[in-house]
Amino acid sequence: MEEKSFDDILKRLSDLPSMPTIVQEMFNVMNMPNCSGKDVARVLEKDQALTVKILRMANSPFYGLSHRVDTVDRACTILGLNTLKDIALSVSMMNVFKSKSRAGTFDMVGMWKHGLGCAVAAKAVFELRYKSGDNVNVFVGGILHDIGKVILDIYMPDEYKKIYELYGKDMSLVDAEMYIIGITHALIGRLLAKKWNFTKGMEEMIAFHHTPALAKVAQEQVAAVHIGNEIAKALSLGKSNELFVMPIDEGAWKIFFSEGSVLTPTLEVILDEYTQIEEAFGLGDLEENRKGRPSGGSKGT
Amino acid sequence: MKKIALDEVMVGMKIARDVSGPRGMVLVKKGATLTGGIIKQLERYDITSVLIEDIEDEKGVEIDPKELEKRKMDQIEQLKPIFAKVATIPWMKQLMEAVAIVKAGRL
Repeated sequence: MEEKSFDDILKRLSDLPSMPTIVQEMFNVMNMPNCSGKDVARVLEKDQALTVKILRMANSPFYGLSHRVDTVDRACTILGLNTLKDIALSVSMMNVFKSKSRAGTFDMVGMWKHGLGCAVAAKAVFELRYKSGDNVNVFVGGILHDIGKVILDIYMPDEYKKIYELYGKDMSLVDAEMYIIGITHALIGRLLAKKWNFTKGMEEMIAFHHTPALAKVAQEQVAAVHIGNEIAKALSLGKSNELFVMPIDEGAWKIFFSEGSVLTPTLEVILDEYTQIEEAFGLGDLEENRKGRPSGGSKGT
Repeated sequence: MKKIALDEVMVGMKIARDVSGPRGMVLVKKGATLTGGIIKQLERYDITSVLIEDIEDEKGVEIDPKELEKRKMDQIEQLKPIFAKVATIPWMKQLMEAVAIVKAGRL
């Protein structure tokens, strides 16, 4: 590691933003045993901007509703509580970190799009084996898996710039991160997950998205996010700022695919769903924040 | 009309004959345009191939399956650099090929 000591890094990260009240309240409500749409609506409706976004999502072609919904409570009845939680958490998390890139190494919109691509892919992969409904955390886990990169960019722009200089030359991203700051984006994400009291499963999806074999409580979900991440890169959904598709862990792959598995239908579903949801997430709002900024990393094909 | 294996079909292709599942239930009607969801559904019913209407581009010009194959190979060439680190792993090759097929079908 160069220059900065590990303690210094941790100290700086202790200034990580605290969890926004609305996300905190969402978590509290969701963890209530008999949580209803009305409970969620009561929390969300305190934040008009969030409500608008959620309704825009609910009304997007992705969810294929036959008529418009105009209240959160109604959206919940139609989409189901789990889907609503999914949307609400994702949208509010993106709101926290929507500021523009500081290192200039980084295309923040591209990064969130990559998260969204990973989320859609992870969900599709997970559903190959498990029924939908269980996939809620997988979707949010997909969106948040690279949150550590976002944090590094915002809190350590200078170091992150150096990391990308090395990465561009001949080092893997993780090695470059270890060399410059002694900690990987996956671990930084884990620190945030701990600080924000995410569920253990969510923490694992973020911490082990490169190393799914290390997961203990949510192996299948972690495996789905791990695979979703590489699929999103392979399909050039968003910009992960990584130049290569990395090996998918064999154990993780075998949870969902067997020797003769046909992959194309799953990829078609992922592309269709991604196109619909990208629009619905209103990432265009973020675009405003980064006009004229240089973007780094791979563009994909 | 051509018979195409399910793992080679592409979104947007048109079904030339009704596809029936077990007990004669019609899964997809003639004339339907394939979507990711339909392909997945067919896979679930263990359908291995379907009859596809001749493929036309947006101007109604028929596309030769050979042309599609060529597009697929082009896609593979384009994907090779980002798959450079994983080229020897069987399931990663399988993924690269599938990405190429899907992308070629959407050009």
